[in-house]
Amino acid sequence: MDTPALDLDEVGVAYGAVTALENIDGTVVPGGSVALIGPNGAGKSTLIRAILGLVPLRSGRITVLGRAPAAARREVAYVPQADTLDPEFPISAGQVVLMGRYRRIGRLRRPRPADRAAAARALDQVGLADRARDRFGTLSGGQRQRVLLARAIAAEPRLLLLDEPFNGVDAVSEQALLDAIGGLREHGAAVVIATHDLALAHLACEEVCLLNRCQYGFGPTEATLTPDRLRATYGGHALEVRGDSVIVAHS
Amino acid sequence: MIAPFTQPFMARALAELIVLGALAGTVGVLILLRRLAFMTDALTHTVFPGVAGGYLLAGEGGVFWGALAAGLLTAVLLTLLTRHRAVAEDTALAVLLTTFFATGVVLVSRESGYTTDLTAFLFGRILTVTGQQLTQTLAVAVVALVALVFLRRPLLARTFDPGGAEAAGHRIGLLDLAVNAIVALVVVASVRAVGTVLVIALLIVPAATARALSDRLAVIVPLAALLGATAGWAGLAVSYDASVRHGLRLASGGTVVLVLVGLHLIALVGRRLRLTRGTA
Amino acid sequence: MTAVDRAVTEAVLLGATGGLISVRIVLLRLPFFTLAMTHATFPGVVLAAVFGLDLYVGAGLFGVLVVAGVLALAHRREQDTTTAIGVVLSAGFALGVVLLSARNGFSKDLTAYTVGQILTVGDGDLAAVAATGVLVVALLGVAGRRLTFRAFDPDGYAAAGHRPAVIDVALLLTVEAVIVVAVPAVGAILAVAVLVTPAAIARLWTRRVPAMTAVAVAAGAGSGLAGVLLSSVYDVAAGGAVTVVAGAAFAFSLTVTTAWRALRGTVSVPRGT
Repeated sequence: MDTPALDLDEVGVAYGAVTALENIDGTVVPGGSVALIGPNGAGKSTLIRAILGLVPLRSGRITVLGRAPAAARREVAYVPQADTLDPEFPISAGQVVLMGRYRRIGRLRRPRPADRAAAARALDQVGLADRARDRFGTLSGGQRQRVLLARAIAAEPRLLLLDEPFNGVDAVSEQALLDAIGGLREHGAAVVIATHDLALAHLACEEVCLLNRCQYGFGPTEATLTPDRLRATYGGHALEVRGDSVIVAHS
Repeated sequence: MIAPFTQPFMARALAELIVLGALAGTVGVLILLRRLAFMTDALTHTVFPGVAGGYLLAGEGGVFWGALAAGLLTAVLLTLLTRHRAVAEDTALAVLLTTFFATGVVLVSRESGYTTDLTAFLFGRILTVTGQQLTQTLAVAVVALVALVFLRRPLLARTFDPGGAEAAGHRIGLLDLAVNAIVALVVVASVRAVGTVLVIALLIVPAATARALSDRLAVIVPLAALLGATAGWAGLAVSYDASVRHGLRLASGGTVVLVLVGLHLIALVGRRLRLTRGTA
Repeated sequence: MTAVDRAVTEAVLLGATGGLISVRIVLLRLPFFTLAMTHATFPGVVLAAVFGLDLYVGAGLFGVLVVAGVLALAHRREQDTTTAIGVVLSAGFALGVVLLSARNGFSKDLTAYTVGQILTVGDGDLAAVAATGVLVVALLGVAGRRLTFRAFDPDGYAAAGHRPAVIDVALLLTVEAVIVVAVPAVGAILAVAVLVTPAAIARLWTRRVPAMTAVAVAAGAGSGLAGVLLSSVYDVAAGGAVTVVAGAAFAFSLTVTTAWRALRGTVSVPRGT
């Protein structure tokens, strides 16, 4: 339990001559959670891809569950944004979730009862057990996002990466997502969420990482999500509303 | 509709069309889901000079190998091109395809009386299929189907959610290459029977019909295969019938495609009726 | 005029006309679309032959249907469009093939329409190409600036109060006309050599529209001329020869300009990164 789930050590990523990320540094403990916050193009998706071992680092090191990113992939699950997927695809919600078990099932074996049970449990955890047989595309945006989270849950990950999971999601689905994420954390999984939504970052994550190519803060949410740091990250004026939520407007 | 097939050449033609129909139907589902119609069209253009070149170098027997070489080369090149999207690659592709096709035309036209050969390459000539060709087709079918079965889960993951598949560690580039190669193989196998121009019909119409009739892959794939095979048999039977009983020479490849399109229209009408009757 | 003279005239006129319009096709990112249109026109050509209609009338009518169908489908979901187009084209091709085979004039007719028979063009065909050339020049004269505007700034074009649909229809109909008159010379399938390749070549050398047009016209006419001459010397299909020449010119241009850019890239010193 001493090994951090994720350790970012002076991480730098470049695409050719363009620096996408530099000096990103921080740690996430098992059961911990961090929100990646920054404007569009800040490098949040790049960082997630780097954690997955999909982009090479120019400098620094990423350690996932004590290993190199590529080696740890079996225990890492990724949840993409649901609206990037084809709504016409002939696949049911249940089948999508079962895909989360593929790593364990392998190429040729048939899914075992244990696999099917895990998939069913995962779908239940996001509150969509009754929609298992419905075609994925017939679900609402928020429900699709929940199904994708269930797919990740079915994989029994120790690190969960989510890319803008709350975008365009209805209130019911939002709550279901938060509950399911909380459930995973209670089981010891660490969670990294890239999001614009500062209020949800407060709700879902103990820590935040403010980044816009370089890092403007990494620490407990309350302390780190300050107007000054946000201004620095977003490069504009920050307004405080009710002392809680912060709206950022560009100058 | 069984009697004509007791003759050996008809039996071979039937076997060839059934195998091709089933294979093309199956692979066609993948093409449909991956939106690969354009790449497939490209393949039919580039296989043609391979066909022509193979024929020139080694006669009838060379057609298969020439097509195979051209097809696989195209599969590799196209995979690379689509992975490294250059500016205006559409333009380059359109130009290159047409030029490849024209190369085939030029090659074929060197022989005098080339019109028959050209027509055979473009539109197929099923009735002269030999036992050896049938064996080649079966070999291709086996290779393609084994590959699809082995790769079905990564393919499903990649087709549905490329980002998620990549995150899970699947090698997207290799998977895409495998798919392109499989499609190339099917195009090559189908060229002799239905010709390069009609191959694409064999690949997309059964799959489109099956998709119109069902929402579940477990149904769509076998249904597409069945539709392809059935059209193969029906098209051959109809064109034979027309020839023997009515003195009408109907190109077999074209007839097969017309049967496929007919089935597609029936399916569309059926679906429209089912929807208006109000089942969600 | 001898057959070869006519063939050369046809090739040069067609190449020049195609070159002119090809610039618009490339700028509006329509090459694949044009490829599809040539495929779609082919059944019309075949059907015209089967029903004994004059090529231009039959293929022209079918061509108008094609344009209408394409515009109608363009508004639907992408998946349906591509598949629907594919199914319709397949049906058209198959129908044409079957009808032709039933008529016993199978091989010869089909080849003529697929790859053209430029050595058999008559004065009527020449007149048709010339007329289409005039049409293209007229279109570009009237709407050339608007086409450029539309190509580079579609949102601005609509915001300025113009209706993109009108100009799209005009362009598509003109493109279809060029495809139809290209059929006797290079066949339907190879019409891309006339309608896309010239501008594809030109665009590699320059981005400025007037210069691009000049290069495209020269490339079109030049490859037409060279193709016909090569075909009579080496006894190969003229349509094929024209396309291969054009394609070779494209490949050459691509290689040279890429190499040139690569060289310039390493030589020039970046100023203040």
